[in-house]
Amino acid sequence: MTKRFIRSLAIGVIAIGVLSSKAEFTLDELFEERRDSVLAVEFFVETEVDRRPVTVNGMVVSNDGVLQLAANAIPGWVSIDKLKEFKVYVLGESKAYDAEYLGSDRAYGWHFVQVEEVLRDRLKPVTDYQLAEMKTGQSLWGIGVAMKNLDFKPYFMRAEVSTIQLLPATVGFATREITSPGSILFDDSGAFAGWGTAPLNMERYLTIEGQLYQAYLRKPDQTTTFFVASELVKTFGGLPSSPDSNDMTWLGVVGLQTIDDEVAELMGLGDQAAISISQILNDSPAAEAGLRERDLIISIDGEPLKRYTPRRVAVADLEQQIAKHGIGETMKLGISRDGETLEVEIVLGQAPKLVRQASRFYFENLGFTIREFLVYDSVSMKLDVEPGETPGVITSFVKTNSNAHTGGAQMGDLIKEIDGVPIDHFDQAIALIEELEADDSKNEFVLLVARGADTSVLRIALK
Amino acid sequence: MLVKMLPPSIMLKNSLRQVGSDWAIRIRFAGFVWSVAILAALVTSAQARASFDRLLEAVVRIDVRETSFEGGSSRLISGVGSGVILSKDGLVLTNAHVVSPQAVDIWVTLASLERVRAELLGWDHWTDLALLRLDIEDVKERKLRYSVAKFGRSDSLKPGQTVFAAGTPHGLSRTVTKGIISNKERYYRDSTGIRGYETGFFNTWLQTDAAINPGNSGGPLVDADGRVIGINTRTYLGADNLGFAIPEKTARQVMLALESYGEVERSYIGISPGFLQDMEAFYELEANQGLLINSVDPGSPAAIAGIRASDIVLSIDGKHFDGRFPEQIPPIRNLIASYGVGEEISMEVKRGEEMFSVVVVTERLESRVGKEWAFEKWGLTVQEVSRTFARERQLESDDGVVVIGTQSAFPAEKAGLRRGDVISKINQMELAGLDDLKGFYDAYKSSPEALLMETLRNRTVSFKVIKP
Repeated sequence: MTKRFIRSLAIGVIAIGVLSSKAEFTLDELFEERRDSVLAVEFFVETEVDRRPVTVNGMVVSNDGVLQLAANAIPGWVSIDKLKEFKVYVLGESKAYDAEYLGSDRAYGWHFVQVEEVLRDRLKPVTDYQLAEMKTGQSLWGIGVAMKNLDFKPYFMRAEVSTIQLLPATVGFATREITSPGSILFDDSGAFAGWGTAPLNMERYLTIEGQLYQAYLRKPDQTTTFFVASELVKTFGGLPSSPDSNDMTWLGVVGLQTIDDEVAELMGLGDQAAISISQILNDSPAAEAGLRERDLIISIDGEPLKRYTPRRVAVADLEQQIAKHGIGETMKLGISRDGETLEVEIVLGQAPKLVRQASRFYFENLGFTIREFLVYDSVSMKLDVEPGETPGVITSFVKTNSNAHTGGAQMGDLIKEIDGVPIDHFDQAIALIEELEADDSKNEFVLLVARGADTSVLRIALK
Repeated sequence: MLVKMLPPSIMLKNSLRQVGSDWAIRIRFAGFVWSVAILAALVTSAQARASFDRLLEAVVRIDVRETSFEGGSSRLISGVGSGVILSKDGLVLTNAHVVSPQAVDIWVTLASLERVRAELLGWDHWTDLALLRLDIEDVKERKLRYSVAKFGRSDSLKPGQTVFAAGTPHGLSRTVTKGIISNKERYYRDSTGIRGYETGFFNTWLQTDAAINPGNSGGPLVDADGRVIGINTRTYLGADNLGFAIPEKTARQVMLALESYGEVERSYIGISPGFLQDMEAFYELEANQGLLINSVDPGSPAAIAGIRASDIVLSIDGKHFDGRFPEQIPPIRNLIASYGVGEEISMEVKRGEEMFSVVVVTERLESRVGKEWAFEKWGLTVQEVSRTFARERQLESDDGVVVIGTQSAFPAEKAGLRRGDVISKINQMELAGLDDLKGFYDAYKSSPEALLMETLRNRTVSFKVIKP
């Protein structure tokens, strides 16, 4: 009787134990499952003369094998057709799977890559997990990703939440390294807690033979900072229609600066945060709406501008809010101008072409690349260009010791004239140089380039 | 490398021994015939020796203390250089980078080891020359003695000719070094060479392998007879024996102007010449003729006259010239600069197939460095924005002042002002220049109140508050 009771009790206890362990997975079980939510992504950036391999981590964000990559995973100046051979690797395995680049999110800059079908069923999207609640001091664990020569082996990391900041994204800081950039972290119940960002620069002092050096050190493969998952998931879903589509909106303002507290006070704004506008581009939505240089932006769509710490985060916030609007949508900006407050309605336009979308042409025999002139060039070159006017083409690459290099061409030169002919169109420039290359009677040609405040006449040998 | 690292005393001993044994050999083996020849050589070399000694008596050391506005306040900095006495009444020629108009006191040490004060008569950073005058009353009263150096002719120098440099390298007074003329027409241009001032636009340089070190600056380069053929100016640090001197021809002209007017007035038309080098064929020019225009300053006399980049100037007032190589450019620039301010220059220009004449009305040439000032209570030092500075930075106007220094924990630094910021407005009012800012500063000093500054950096506008 007692024996039977003890036996049944023992069975009961074991049963409870089995049940509870099924509900509360051990960390190694959680780790084994969640490692399939991260993949290593490899691709090449092709330039005129070489190919550079890039390896980053991506997190799985959908059931059809879409990975999300950090905004800085791909350099902004690289044109889409120079991104070659996307491959993905399951962490800890050496087999490469094909993948395709889908483009980037216009508001946040995330890049998207889709993996080939055979792999999709194996993957676990992060959207399947519960979302962790974030508290200071809370213990979290993350998945670190080793280097390629270790087959991107995943490893366990742990740290506590140190602080959470609005920058303007909600960013968590851990007490020490907690994951790899682009990889993910969780709480102890397995709820999704965050996505690793690029590591911070750590200020350090080095003393070498009595000489003091200030140095900024950064681990390439581990990070202490992460996007907080509960806010991050709200930004999901900004997949572009095609990799090189341009649905970016713009205001056409340059040199946005937050103003100091003392300045705000002196201008009678009290503790209202404000952003000053340095320059308004010709023909832009801002110009058409009547915004003026030195206007102070104090509210966006009726919401007063947030007072961030540090203050300059407000500019990133504004830029993000502009990007969230679609082309043709209206945005309302509260403006303080000469002590008066007014509200300006702006119909947002399509942003001009980005550097990575510009047309380029490489003259292999001469060793240089020209690319079309962009609105942004007139800003960086401080040119006052009339709407629709093209002052030339840009030299975007010069091969070392090529004829172009020997002749003195430099990256960033604005080519104004080719052999005495003023350039006002990209195709015209290509046609002119091709014609010169084909002309056997010509040994050289002359470029007039602008460089900073000066111009230079360059002689380029054709043979 | 090892030899260089030996302490100076050891090097000195070695070289003395060498000289000694050399003499011993000569005396022992010289026969009668040779003795006569040596005697004759000794007579002429004795004459040369005497004039060389006179030169050495004219070389001086110059100690200068001057005001610097670099770090957010005015402070005194000191330096040592060399100079050469070129007249009985105490004119001393030296470098512009040794003595500038910001000098507060100038002490000259004569070869007789007497020290006497000097004042700055004139300054010309374009050729890196400055002219001082010794305190002649004091010289007379103390019966100080010095000799006067004589100019030679830099035009008649030959590469390979022996020359000597005399001066105060690294503070080592009365050092003479020996070398040859390595090149007579070195081109060297530096648009910020002398503490931000331009230099080398209007002259070529003598290059020598006579050792020239920091402190040699302003000292004479002389021929074997001790005649001044150049003023030692610069050297490539880290290179072996690449020294440069301003040729006597330039020095003599500039000295004359500085003595009479305290400055050299030059004309400006706003062109930057390129080097035509082998491009004659492209421009269909007669061989060895013309000046290629690389760049034209916006709004300058040349721009107003219609000259454009890549034009070829064939002649200036009928004079033809050859502008193919870098060393041919300074004389052409000097020709333009030598016109009177406001004078008309007629130029024959070639543009493609087209040929035409233009008339350019010159303006006065100005330096890129504006007036400097320190606002001590703000911990702020500024420089007036010059036309050249505004053009280089592509600023919309040459109004305002540019920050050259802030002192840590003073109001300007706390407001966030940094070197390179252009202050364009104060309390919403346009700031024309330094005098306006001085006005605001005086008002601030008598009743300190918060000031709102508008600054520009790369066309980005910022607002800064200076608080008491």
